[in-house]
Amino acid sequence: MPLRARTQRYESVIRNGMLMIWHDAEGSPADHDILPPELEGIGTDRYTDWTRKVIDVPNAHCREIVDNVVDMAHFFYIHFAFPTNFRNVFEGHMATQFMESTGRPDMAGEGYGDEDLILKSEATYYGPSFMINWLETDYKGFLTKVIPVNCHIPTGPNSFKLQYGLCVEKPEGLDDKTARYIGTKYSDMFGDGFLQDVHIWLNKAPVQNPLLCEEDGPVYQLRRWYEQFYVDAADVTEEMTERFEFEVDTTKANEFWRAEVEENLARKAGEDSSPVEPVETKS
Amino acid sequence: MAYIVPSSADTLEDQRLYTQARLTEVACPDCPARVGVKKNSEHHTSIQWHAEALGECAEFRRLDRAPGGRPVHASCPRMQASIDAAVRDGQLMIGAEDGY
Repeated sequence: MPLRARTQRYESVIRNGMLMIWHDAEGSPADHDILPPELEGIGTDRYTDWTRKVIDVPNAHCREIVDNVVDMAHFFYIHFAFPTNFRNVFEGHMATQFMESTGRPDMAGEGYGDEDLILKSEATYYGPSFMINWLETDYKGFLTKVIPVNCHIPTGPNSFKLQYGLCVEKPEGLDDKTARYIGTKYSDMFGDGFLQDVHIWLNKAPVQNPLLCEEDGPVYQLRRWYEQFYVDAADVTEEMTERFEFEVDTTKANEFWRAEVEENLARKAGEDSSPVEPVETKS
Repeated sequence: MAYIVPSSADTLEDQRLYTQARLTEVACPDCPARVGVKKNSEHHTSIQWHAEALGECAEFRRLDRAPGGRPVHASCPRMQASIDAAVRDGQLMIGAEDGY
């Protein structure tokens, strides 16, 4: 290594089999108290190995992915599920989303849109860009515990790299190959989910002052929380880190969405049963 | 800092409206903690804690001492009961005003 080479040293820790690097614009030492929690059983026979994928998002600010923490409605429109319960808690450097959903029967298994798939999800950002998701899936009575993680790294003022992966708690009585197969299936599903999000981010203008309706999540409080990572440590205000709890009332939204899905199914049934126009062939 | 920190006066006013307007103070019957609460509908609840109240909440202090620390999702059941009581007493009105 040439002595004049401009190298930078970053403090690092291996946690849950992942390399965590402390990036601090002010050059302060790493705060080990705010490391993400150790996941019990990860790296043992009880769980499959992590899957890992990377998506480059070339033209969006990474706040777009963070905004999703409070976006109840996008689970219906983008990921094709009915979000039946939705709650947020922000405190300190953590932002959490609780969500329960069932799939949309009119979407024939796209995204999370399999009507037999019930998700119970708790997802927490530890700092601005690293999220652990504790997910319980119920597919036709078959229960699986899945731990998806995702993190993003800004690659410019308006671009970022999204990395995601997951591991699956090996169900009792299933061999490793089948457990890995289940892991790959869920990894593909979340990968498709992220691509659905990316499609929106690339075609969306950032709005600093969105007009909210009653069923919207607490986007202003989330952004206030997120600001703490864009100012010097001394300028972090109490408002940015104080505990905030929010429960979205999903009742009305789901009534409208159920009706919309019924209409879609009725129309589709009509199309499927209508006689096919005879095609005249030239002899 | 790009567009992350709001600067226009209108946006700051929107931020104030959505984060601070119409919060009703609800006190815990068992400890000195007070929080700001808003309910736009029966199932919607918005609870703003402050550092002081968080320190005073006996339930949170108990959970802080638990092995592994307090889970972020744990709500204070006593505060939740106070909020339900405030709704029953008519002290906390249910309803939204123009979406906020």
